Amino acid sequence: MVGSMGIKWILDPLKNVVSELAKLMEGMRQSIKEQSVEVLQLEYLELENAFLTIIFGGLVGMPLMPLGLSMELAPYLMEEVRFLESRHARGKDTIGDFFSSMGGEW
Amino acid sequence: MTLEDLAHAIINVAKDKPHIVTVIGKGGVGKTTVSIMIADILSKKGKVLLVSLDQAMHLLKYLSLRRAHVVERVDGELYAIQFDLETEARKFTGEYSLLLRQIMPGLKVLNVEKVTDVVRNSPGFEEEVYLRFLSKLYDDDRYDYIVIDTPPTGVTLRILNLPRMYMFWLDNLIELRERIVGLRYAIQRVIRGRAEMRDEVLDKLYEMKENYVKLAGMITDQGRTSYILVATPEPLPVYEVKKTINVLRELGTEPVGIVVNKVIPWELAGKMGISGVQLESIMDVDAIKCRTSTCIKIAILMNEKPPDTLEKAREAMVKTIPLSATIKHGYRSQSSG
Repeated sequence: MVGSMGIKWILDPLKNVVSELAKLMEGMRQSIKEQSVEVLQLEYLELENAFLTIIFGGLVGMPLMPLGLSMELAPYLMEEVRFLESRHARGKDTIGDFFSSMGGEW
Repeated sequence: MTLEDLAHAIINVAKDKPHIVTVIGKGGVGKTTVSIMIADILSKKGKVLLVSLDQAMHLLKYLSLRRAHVVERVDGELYAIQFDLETEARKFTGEYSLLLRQIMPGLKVLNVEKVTDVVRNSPGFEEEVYLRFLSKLYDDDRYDYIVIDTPPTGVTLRILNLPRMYMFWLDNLIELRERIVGLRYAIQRVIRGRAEMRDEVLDKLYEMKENYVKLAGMITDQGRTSYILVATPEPLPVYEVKKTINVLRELGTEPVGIVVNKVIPWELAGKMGISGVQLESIMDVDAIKCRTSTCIKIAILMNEKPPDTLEKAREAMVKTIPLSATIKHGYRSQSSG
């Protein structure tokens, strides 16, 4: 009786540890899965944004400008485009953008 | 009034070289024939380039040109070129795609191979190609006169309207860029204590605006550009002439002449049962009130076969008569019928 109580006293916490460990492992697995598609999701969201902007841009005052004018201006906007691209790549890093907009080393 | 009178009216108003003569009309009314005739007459007075922008490419056959997109001497001081939209469009798509690849390597995500297709199929791209070619023609002072056989009316009017549309865009872009430059200047002054007001992009925008204002001005300056409208004596081509005049007036110019081409001899028209429609259409053109004294209205009688060579076009010119005379003949034939 005392022996079986003794085993239960050891087994129950062990079960809890194993169960918690399993949950941790499951969490880690889920996290790895989510991380692996994070970049794809970002790209998916940006493409969806671009798609909707192209289709509905005109309805919200964003008409597409004539191609000839864009191309004539393009060589003068190379630096701005690179800046836009790098900002686009950071995407959700709002805090990073905020600090960088304040300038200096952070 | 004959085609000679029309050509002389053009010579009289022409100020700078090259003077551009733009021949506009519905598809199939004989724009190419009229362009050849006018260019031929003008070539007796100076060096003339006849350009066909019409992608039906009749000029190749009519003047026996060896190939499209190359200037060839036809006769005396008359030179001709059949503009090839595809060749010019390929040149532009190539340049644009290269530029886009350099500027936005990120476009690879969107499959960079498709960029060329995107450029080629963008709305307004063809009109843009035409406009750039037209702009180059205005600067080509090797010729005294450049006669342009245009694509069908709708496309032509869109091309003529483009500089105004571009000016609207540029005005808005300039306003926005001036705000950006102003803000940047203020921020730099606060942070660094000194700032640069000059902006390369803004300078380029001013330069572009100036170029398009100049082009729009030349398109509507009667000393630089003359418009000849061509119709056949049928309701729809005449309707298009009226619409074109309205657009030209909105732009701030007037046609120098209206040519009613392929007028069927009245006797034959009577037999065909179309003399009524023909007379009505010609009278409709005659009733168009021109705001300038130089607007000349003439008719060209129909040939048994379309004049598809320079020689035949010269022969056909003899059949040019004043529009008022055609109407008199028409009335006479109607009353005798």
